[in-house]
Amino acid sequence: MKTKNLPLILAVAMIMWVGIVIILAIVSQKIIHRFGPLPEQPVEFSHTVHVNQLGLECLYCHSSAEKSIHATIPSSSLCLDCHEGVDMDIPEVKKMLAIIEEKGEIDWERVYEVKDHVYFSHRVHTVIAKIECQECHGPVEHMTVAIRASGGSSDRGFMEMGWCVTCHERRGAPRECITCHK
Amino acid sequence: MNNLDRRNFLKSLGMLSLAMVPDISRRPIRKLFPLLIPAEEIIPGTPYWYASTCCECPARCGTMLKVREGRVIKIEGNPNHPLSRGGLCPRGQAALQELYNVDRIRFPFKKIDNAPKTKLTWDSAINEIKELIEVGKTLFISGYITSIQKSYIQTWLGGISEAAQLFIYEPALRNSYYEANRIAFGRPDANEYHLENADLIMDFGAEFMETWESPVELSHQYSNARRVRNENIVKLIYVGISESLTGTNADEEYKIHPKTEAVVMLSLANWLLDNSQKSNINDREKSTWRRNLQAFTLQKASEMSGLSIEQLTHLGKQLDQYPNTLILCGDAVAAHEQGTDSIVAANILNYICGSYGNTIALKSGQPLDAVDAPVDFEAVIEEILNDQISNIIFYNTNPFYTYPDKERLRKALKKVPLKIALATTLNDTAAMADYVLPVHHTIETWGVEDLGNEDYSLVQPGMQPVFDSKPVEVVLQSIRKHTRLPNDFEQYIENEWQSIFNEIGGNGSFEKNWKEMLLKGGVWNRTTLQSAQVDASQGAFSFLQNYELPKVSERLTLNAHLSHRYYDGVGANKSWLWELPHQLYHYVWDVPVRVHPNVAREYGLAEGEIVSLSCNNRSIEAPVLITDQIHPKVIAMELGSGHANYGQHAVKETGNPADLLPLNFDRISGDKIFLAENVEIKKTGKRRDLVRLQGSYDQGERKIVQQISLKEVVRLHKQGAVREEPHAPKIYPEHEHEVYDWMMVIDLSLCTGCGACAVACYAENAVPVVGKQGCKHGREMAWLRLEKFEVDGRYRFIPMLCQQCEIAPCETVCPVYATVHSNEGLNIQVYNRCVGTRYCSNNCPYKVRRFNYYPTRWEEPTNLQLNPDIYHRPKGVMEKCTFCVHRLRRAKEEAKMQGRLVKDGEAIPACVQSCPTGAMSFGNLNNPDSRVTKMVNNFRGYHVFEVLNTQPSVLYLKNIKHEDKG
Repeated sequence: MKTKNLPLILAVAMIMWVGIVIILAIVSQKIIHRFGPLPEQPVEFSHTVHVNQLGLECLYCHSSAEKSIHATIPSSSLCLDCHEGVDMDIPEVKKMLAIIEEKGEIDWERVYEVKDHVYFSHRVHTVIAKIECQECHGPVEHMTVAIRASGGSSDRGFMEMGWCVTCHERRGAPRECITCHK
Repeated sequence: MNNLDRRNFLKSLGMLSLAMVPDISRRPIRKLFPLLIPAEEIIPGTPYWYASTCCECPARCGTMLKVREGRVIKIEGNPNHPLSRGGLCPRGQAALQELYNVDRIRFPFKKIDNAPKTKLTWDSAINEIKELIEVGKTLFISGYITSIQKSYIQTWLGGISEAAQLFIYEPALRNSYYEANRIAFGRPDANEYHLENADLIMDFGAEFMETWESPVELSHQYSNARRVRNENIVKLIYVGISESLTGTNADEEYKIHPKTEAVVMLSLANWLLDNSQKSNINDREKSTWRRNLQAFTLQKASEMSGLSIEQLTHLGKQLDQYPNTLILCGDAVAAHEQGTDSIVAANILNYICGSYGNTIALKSGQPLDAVDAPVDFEAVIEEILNDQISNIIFYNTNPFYTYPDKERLRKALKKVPLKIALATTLNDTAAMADYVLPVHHTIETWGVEDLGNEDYSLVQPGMQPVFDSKPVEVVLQSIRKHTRLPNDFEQYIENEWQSIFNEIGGNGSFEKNWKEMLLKGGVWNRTTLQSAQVDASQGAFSFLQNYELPKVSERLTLNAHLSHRYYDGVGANKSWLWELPHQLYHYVWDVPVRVHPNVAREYGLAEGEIVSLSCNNRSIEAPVLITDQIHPKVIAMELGSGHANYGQHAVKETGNPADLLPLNFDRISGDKIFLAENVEIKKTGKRRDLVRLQGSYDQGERKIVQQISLKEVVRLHKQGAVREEPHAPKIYPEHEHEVYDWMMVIDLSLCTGCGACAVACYAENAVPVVGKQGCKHGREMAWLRLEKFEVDGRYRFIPMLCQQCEIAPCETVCPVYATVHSNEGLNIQVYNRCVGTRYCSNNCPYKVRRFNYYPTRWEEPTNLQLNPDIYHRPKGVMEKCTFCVHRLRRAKEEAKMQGRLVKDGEAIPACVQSCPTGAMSFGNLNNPDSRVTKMVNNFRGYHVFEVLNTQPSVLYLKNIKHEDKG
């Protein structure tokens, strides 16, 4: 009887496992989608050191966040403004200086990205709506390398349309298609 | 199965599945690049504007270059510039496609005879040329350049050798005007026109809306005269040999036999002396004029031109009836051996009508030898054939396209040991050079353009060069250093401006002025009419005494005229211009020969049939288009096809009409002739269908284009009439527009149908070009098209774009809510939502929705031109005009940052911005001060297909039909 039922048991087990694997995949996909895979930056830039310990403003580096649609990342010259004299013996700083020496600029990996068909303006959200950076970008001041993280209250997929609309709804912001869709 | 127990099976399954998980979720990694040069004032994502000058044709309109993230994405007219006043023609806007042309020369190369092309570095190319150029006489052949660049090149050539020569080859430009003024008034000056002062323009072939002199400026002037002032609008009478945009816009149009325009004008002058009180001439002089003009009777003019005596008398009466007249003469009509005579005749008629000082004046200070006469080019070729020239440098010119006898030119060029081409793209001429050096496009370089009258326009670069090119001045200096010319190019330009500043006696410091000038785009002071005392007594009389009647051919004459889209062929490498339908016949991607039905009957021709045209021992092939708008003895073809070598967009299967032109010249000015007499037509038995994007010009009962008479306008205006919105049942709930309610008003009375708006739309919205096959299948993508319809026996133009209906038929049928109504009155298309059912397009009565049948490829470097504010629609998606919603969005954001609403004129779509005549207005209907609010109640207003109750947001104003008084 034992051997007689083995194919059946195996088949059921297989189906269950495939099911579990699919569920696992979906869940991990969700998690990864929400926080993003850990970006592999060429230099481990520590946000927490610069913001929490040194007290730099976000706008010190992401200087266009209140002026333009893009928040922008700084060019290497801004890094060198300090690090040509300060903390030059820290390994990551050494690494950074070497990269700048070699290539002139650092190829940061993109962490946040809106789709091509989306119009997103940083300055409208920061200046007019007065939204804190952390509300969308999470507690960056506690991160080393920035990872995709939502500080928002929504359960919807991060940086997806539902996520945007929930906040627009809550704040009474325009919900016309053309507000965001190009 | 036996070897695999349960435990191992599960283990491996688990391993496998875990290994799969990260793979599913991997996103493509994209890199962020910081701005390399962090110029403090430059913010990524923000557009910047640089004032510059368009050099696509010799008019030199002022432009504004729109720069995003370091690249120029659009060219608009400079609103402060005296020539463009904010508008820009289709050719000027398409200059971007020269800058980002796939066929741009990317590096210096050498190609000697049949040897393969060898890539060179700049250093090696310059070093090779340096040694070769030392020997023999050097000839520099350039396109139209103005005084400052000209003197630079001349100085540089002086450093090479005493004998080195500069030849400016620009066959479309005519010296006849200077010559005619010299003959008539003893002053070799250029003309200055003031169409806005005229109430009758009698135009003998001058295509001032397309190519003649300065089309944007003159169209603007004309539109000002076409607005109702003192119960009147200007009347335009066109007398020509073939049909044109200007002729089609005219209130009356007459076709005369080629070469007879001078006789017509002189007979009208003669008639006026006897029959008009208006004449500018006192009684004492009258008898002398009469004596000199007596040979030119209406009878004579009628016999030669084919106009009836009644028609000629009517023209004379018109000149008599209107106080402020202007007679224009030019382009192909005057491009024959006696062309200068015709322009003198126009001067005489203008003089007798008293136009000088009123609608026309002579400009002082324009150099007589602006361009070298094409007749002298013969001498140059002769010199080459006699082995007197060892080096030729071509710059910005293409004689190999416009020169008729290609064999002769080829033979001559073969004899020149060193041929260098300084070019942006490889054209027919540059392809024959030994060394090809890429030079900057106007958008990449600095320069100063002389507009005459101490007006100067600045050429300012909008971006870093796209490829490894250099400014022409720098290339020349590196080939052979001239000690008198400064080494630093930008310093040289600044020095030139310094001397201009000193010359015009500017106020304040130069630095401050220079900075202001960079913003403004030049210095100009064009406000008043020049003092207009001209004296025609001596010159005109001797001219009339020696006037010889032209020999008129009774056989067919070919009019190979400048093209509205390709000018003298230079625009033929730009896909926007090929896809912009011809203004009158809506054909694309080909150039047909236009023939009268009589001619078609005589030779048994049908549309699309390919004929062989021959003349002067040369022949070309072209497809036929039959039209009754042309004189029966004339066949016409625009320049633009038949390039031997001009990149991937050039149309090669149709011949080059310039090949048929004769090798003789204007007898007085030496200008190029654009009429080929005694052309023979032969059938070839082949055919190639013309792709025409408008099938019929008959609007039936549809009332798409509507018209109202001037009398009616005056009457209704006096009554204070307003437009009444037709009463219609309301089935759907009405949309509310709380803050903005966008509205466009298009005045059909001012629209000349030039197509600037259509090209502006292509440039702004990255509208794909589908090519000839695509157009043939009806899959063209133009969001805005210009339609032509017959009203009361004349043709009128109407720009047709998405009407942004309040009750939109498209919205109700979309199954996925991809097209929805916004709270600002726009009909929005959400591209990434669209699944491509095409129901909306089926239900659209205006047929303005376009479906992407083809995937769009933006080949490098054309992708650099794409507007980052626009989503680039993939295949299978419906697209359409949304009143440039990204421009509105940006203007709203800008206003919001300042805590206010958008002001009138801040947010306008690209088409409205580009219109040279100001026919289009756009604004917020909720703003009581906006232009559209004032126009929306105009009694001329109507909607297209009002009966359908779609309630469009585009309001058309009926065309005003001119009527004679009395």
